[in-house]
Amino acid sequence: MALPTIAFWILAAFTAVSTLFTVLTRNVVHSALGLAASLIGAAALFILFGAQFVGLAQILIYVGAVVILFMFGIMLTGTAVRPVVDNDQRPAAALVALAVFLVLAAGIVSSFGTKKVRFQVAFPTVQLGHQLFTTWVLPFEAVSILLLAALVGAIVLARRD
Amino acid sequence: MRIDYAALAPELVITGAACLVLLVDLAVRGRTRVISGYIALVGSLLAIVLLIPKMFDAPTSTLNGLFVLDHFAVVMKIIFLAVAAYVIWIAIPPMRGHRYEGEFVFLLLCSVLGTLLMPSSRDLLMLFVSLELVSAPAFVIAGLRKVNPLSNEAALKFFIFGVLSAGIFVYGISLIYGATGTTSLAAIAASPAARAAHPPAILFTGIVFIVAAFGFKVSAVPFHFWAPDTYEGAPTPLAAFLSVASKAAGFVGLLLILYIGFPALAKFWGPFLGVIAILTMTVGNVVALRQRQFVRLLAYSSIAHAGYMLIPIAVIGSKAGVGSGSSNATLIRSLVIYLAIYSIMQLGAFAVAIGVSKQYPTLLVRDLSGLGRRAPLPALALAAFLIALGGIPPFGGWFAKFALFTAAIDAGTSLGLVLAIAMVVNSVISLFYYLGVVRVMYLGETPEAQDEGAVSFPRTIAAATALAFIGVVFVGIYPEPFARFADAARLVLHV
Repeated sequence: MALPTIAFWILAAFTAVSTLFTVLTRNVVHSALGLAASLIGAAALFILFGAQFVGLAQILIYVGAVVILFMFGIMLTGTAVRPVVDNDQRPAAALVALAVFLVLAAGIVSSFGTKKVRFQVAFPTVQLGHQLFTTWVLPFEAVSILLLAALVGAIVLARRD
Repeated sequence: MRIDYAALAPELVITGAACLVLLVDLAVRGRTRVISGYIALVGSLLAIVLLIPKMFDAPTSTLNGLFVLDHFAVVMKIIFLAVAAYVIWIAIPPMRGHRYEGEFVFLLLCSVLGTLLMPSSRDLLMLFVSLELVSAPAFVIAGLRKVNPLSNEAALKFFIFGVLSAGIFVYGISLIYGATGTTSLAAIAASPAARAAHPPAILFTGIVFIVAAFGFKVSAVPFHFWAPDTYEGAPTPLAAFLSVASKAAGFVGLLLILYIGFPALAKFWGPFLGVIAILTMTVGNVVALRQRQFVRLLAYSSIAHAGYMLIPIAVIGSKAGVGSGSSNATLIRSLVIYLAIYSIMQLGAFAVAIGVSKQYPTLLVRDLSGLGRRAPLPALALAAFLIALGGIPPFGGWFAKFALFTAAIDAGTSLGLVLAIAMVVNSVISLFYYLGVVRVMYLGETPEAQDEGAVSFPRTIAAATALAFIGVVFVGIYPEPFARFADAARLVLHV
């Protein structure tokens, strides 16, 4: 087996196990840590496939910002004192998850099953930046307005009246 | 690369108005804060004025075909802006003196910007950004009545459903990108994967995910659960906006993706949408029969109307030769007519609801009893809106249903026939609850003696109601100019 293939299986197993841990643990803090691990695994997979920018952005934004924000949220709302949450929907959730998995896995295997995946995808970050500010400048600006709205909205909702 | 700023003018005006509102609201205090509403109103009307000459220009595109301004887009944008202006107008009295009056207007304008970008988008990523720009500010507006637990519930349900649908949408995009290697709608339609005799399975999964995501936005069954709770708990002007503009934006996005991106797979998504259409109209109407709260009743009625509006998209899919073809143009035209007339009826009904809610914040159907005596003119208008929603002449709604019905029949497919019949049956069911409200208004006993007095309407609301009333009567009696406006809405596949 080629080295990238071995690396892929290790990273994929790591990602899958930490994702399972995220949804199975009853402790919110553990769940957030599991999510961080699963996102790092996904980022490593991106880098393995040659999408360095996406991988690094994933670590910076999701692991570095979003999960940390979760931690702050847990701390500030006092959930950390009694961190166990459960809502007795496990069988239903397992059923839905299994159904989604089967549909996606069947679709992806039947579409790509025999195709060879190239590990070295040309994905230069310079070109990405260039594209973002020429062809994709309109969605970029639309997202800026969206973020402004989110900022205003967050202040409105969080402020104590 | 050159950017065609003239084509982007309405979007720029709305963005400018939104930023201006944010700044002006910082500077003014007390009663003068109402100025932000007027800035938004002027901005929307200015954008409409800028769009009107575009009705006579040739379709243009900019940013490598990412943004297209064809006549369909122009007509839809005019409808969105008119709806926005109306909602901002009827929101002035209920939001007056509210702690977040300016923020409300700013967030609403951001949402309007999303609706404007939608009909011009020709790329899945652009459509995704537009759709989120429509929804995300609305999540916050839904929760603006912070002390009200119903408003909190409204915001939370809307947010969770909205975010879930966003996630499903992006996953669908990733599957489609995986199969075709592009996110541009035209390139997807031309890609070998989409044109193959046996397209890859994930393309179908991707389409199902995208339809599910838009199903949330247009509140189609079985993705409708958030709508009644959100409409009831959110500030009522937002409910009006969601049930008209946000819903219409969802239909536009769905039409663009399926019609431009996947004409080759129409055999699959046509019947799929047809089933959803029948489910949506039936569940919406049957559940509406049991509603006691007026906004919830309007919410279920709007779910039923979403079912009707899915018909033309489904029927396009059931036809063998998607592409040009005059009956496709007729179907798209019928959707535009329906969206426009539905907007007038629904907004009018919401305007009356806002007027009554000053005295009866709970807005139960029971609260409307005796309105025929206590506020004769608004009651007359509301009766007209409800009769129009039910589709009875002479008020506007019959023409919308007639256009949809004939377009579905003329398509000459069995799916079109089945859906047209389902719509007629459902329209009859819907009459029970629409006319039920009318009966309560004119024949219902007022519950308490002290309630016998007149119900006073703010002047702005009364004027807005009158405008919608004139619209609904005019369209019902003389639909010709309206039909011609919708005729202009030609969707161009290649610019």
